[in-house]
Amino acid sequence: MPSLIDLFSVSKVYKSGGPPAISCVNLHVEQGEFIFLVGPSGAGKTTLIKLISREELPTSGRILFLNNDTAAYKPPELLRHRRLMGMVFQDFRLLKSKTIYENVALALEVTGRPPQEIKAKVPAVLARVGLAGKEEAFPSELSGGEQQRAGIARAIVRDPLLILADEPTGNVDPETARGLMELFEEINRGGTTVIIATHAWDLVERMKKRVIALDKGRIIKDERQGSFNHAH
Amino acid sequence: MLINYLKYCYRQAVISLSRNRWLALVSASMIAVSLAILGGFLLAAVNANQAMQNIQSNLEIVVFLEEGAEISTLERKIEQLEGIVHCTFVDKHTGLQEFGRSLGDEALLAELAGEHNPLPDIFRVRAREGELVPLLAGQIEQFPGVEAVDYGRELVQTITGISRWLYWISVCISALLAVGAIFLVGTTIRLSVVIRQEEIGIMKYLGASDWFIRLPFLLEGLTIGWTGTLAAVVALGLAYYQFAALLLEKSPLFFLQPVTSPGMLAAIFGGLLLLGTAMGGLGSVFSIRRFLRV
Repeated sequence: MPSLIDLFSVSKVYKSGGPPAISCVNLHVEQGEFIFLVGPSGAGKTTLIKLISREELPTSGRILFLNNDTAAYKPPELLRHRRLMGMVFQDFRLLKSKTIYENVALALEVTGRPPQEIKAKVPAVLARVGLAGKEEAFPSELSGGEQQRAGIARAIVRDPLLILADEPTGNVDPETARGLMELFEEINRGGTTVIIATHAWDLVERMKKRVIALDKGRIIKDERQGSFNHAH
Repeated sequence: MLINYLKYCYRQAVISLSRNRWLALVSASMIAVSLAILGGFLLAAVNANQAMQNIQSNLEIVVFLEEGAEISTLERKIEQLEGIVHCTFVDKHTGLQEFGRSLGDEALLAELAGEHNPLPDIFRVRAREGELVPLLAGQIEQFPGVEAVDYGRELVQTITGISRWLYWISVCISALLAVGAIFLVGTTIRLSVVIRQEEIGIMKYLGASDWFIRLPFLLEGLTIGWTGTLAAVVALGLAYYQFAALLLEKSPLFFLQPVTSPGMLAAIFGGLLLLGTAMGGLGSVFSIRRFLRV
């Protein structure tokens, strides 16, 4: 499979003289992979996601996305980078003042897609994530699981190459979490690369996907069809 | 794509303005007040300028001649000057009669007639434009045989001084008010930025360009500026229309005629509209640069 992400000796130090959040990480991700990032709090999972999304720049080392050095991006290239990926957050980050339809449509509006395309795509993607009929609801009128499904709909509505999800099941009950993971799996079957940072060990155990375990900013285990237990 | 983008920006600006409508209203009012004052002073200045021109164009240059001056040579030289429309010779006897008639004192007139006439021969000169009067008077004064010239120099200087003062007072007051208005627009936009902080963050994650995020704020400021200025221009226009109509009908003095030239009024009101809109835009740019990190 073609390479999507490559990290070469990547380190990230937030505070000069402080401990590294990520230390000398090497990583190769191919297109279409499904990866869990696991590890205790402060292990560096969120920092790794921020480095891949180019929200942060590495203190040292190189990150390639589709063989392009992300540190060397000019503004248009950074926009293209962000538009090739979808982000899913633990706290959903939906705009409370907008309906579910408007929240998902925003992802298309920021790239200037025509209204006809938005009108066609948004209901379809909401149906895909199981939110048909909830278009006019506001986030506060939905359950946590439904809000996260809306967040996932927003992330996939542009058919991204990569989904980055930071603790997407952190605020929902186990039953809902299982449903969300099935949704991610279904998205991945369509060819989208999915990287999920999580503490949901039971789900990781059950899904038998690639597991990358981090501890104190270092990769301590990288297993195909790995498990959370092995990582600890 | 561009039209969709502009529609989106406009929609966001309208939503934001309705959310902060009271602050936006105060900012727009501040711009309206400052521009109404500036516009009022500008109208006063152009009217004062016109009044001065009216006075100057009605001014006569009185050229007092020395005893024995060559009248015909002098008259030819004066008439050859650029801008002269009329030159009349008034000899000392005619002058005395005119003087006597204005005084209404026949006894004094009889006493001063003949050899005792103290008045000199004069030319009465009219210029094509009021502005030329001081220059022409200066040139005529240099001619041999001319003792002195008079054209109401002090009156012209007084009006010119008032005009200049009006101009500088209006500039200072308007500048102070404009700074206040720009600051207020900046505060409105800053509040919008704070309210929409979360949305801005999410838009960044979604790959919105910097200008996609900034433009709604700029449109918001421009709308505030434009609305405030439009209110000022309409109010000022109506007030000036009333004033001009009143003055045209009942002006107590010949030189007090209002400026009614469509070109001049369009330049003033159009300029005010541009200036107010630019003030709104400037307030937004200031806030966007300072508070919106994208």
